[in-house]
Amino acid sequence: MEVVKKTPVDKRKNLMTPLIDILLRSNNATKLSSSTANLILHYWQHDELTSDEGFQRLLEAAYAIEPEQTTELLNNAGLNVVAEELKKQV
Amino acid sequence: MVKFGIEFVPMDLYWRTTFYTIQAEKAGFDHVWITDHFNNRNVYVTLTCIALHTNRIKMGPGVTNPYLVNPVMTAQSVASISEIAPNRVTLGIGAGDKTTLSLLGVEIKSPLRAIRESVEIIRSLITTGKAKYSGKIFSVQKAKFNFKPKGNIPIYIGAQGPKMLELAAKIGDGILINASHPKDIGDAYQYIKSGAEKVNRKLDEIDVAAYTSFSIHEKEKKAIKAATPVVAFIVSGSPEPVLEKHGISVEDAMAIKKALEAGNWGEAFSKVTPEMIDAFSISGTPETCIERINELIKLGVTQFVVGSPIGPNVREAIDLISREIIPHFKE
Repeated sequence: MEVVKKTPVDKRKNLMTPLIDILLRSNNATKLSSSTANLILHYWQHDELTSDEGFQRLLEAAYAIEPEQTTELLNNAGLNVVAEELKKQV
Repeated sequence: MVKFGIEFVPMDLYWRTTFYTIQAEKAGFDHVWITDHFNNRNVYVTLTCIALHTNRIKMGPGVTNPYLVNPVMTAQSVASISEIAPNRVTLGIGAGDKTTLSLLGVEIKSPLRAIRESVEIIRSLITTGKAKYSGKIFSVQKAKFNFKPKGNIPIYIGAQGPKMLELAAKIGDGILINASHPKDIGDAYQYIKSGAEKVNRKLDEIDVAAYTSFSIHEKEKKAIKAATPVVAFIVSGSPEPVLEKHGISVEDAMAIKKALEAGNWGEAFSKVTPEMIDAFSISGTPETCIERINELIKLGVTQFVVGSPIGPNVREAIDLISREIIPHFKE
């Protein structure tokens, strides 16, 4: 959860759609575990993908299937520290 | 007020189809239809996942067929999902896709009778939990569910030909017309009207859905490019009278069919003309799509179904529909 706490809420909102697009467009999507996918669906249904827990799962899911794209996205958003933390965690 | 439906083909991962459905529900769609082909993910598994992750949107197979799935099993499946999402489940049933069924050696015999008998068996089971039926195609000696079906499950019939359209108007709660063009919808509506009149039904009792091939993007070229492969397959499978109605030569359609059969996708898609796109899809900018949807509503359509490909990018297309299309008709 430390990773998420380092991400301001306004940045989470901006990052949500590009992170979702990583999940929806990736050719490695089968790498995503069904338990994580089910959690993503739960947070999406309840508009909680930018909550602490929801955003954490979204970051983990995107990183699990497209680590380079996710890192690049975070770096471009000035969240290099988050990208590094994520790499350690996943 | 017109309802909006959306179709998904469960070729994609279950969570992507569910993700898009949640998005569609938020966008204001009323209905999601999931196609049923043996070579894709199972329609009822997909619908179960959707039922668990949505709150309002109605859902159903669009469409299943009685040749591959016995009507009793279809009734059991929809009744089971209706327990999860009461009053949100609908059933779409049609004669089936000849090409897919022929791969399994399944022949489409007496489609009108098969649909009529299936609907009678299914309706009995989903309303009373019991069925006893002696038909020419299906017989049920004594079927009884060990659970009580919950909620109302309307039955929609997938129809294209005149006789099936008439039958659908006689016995269906709704009709899914597989067409996008006003000429086809207008013709279909006449058969629906005639079928309803024969059994003294009022047309407003029937949800008339145009199940279209749809592609939307802010740039027309992109929308058309996304629709081209779908239209190529529609053209290659269309009967001669349908092609003639739209001024498309049989030779041109055959050329596309041959290229598709040979796996020459590029060649096949390059032969798709603007006339074919116009005849078999609704493709273009939001303004174009609004104009085309309006034409269909004027012809009697009460549900507009956004079918494949939806757009070059499904998530963006659903967003665009929620911003530009649905509010135009619902606000």
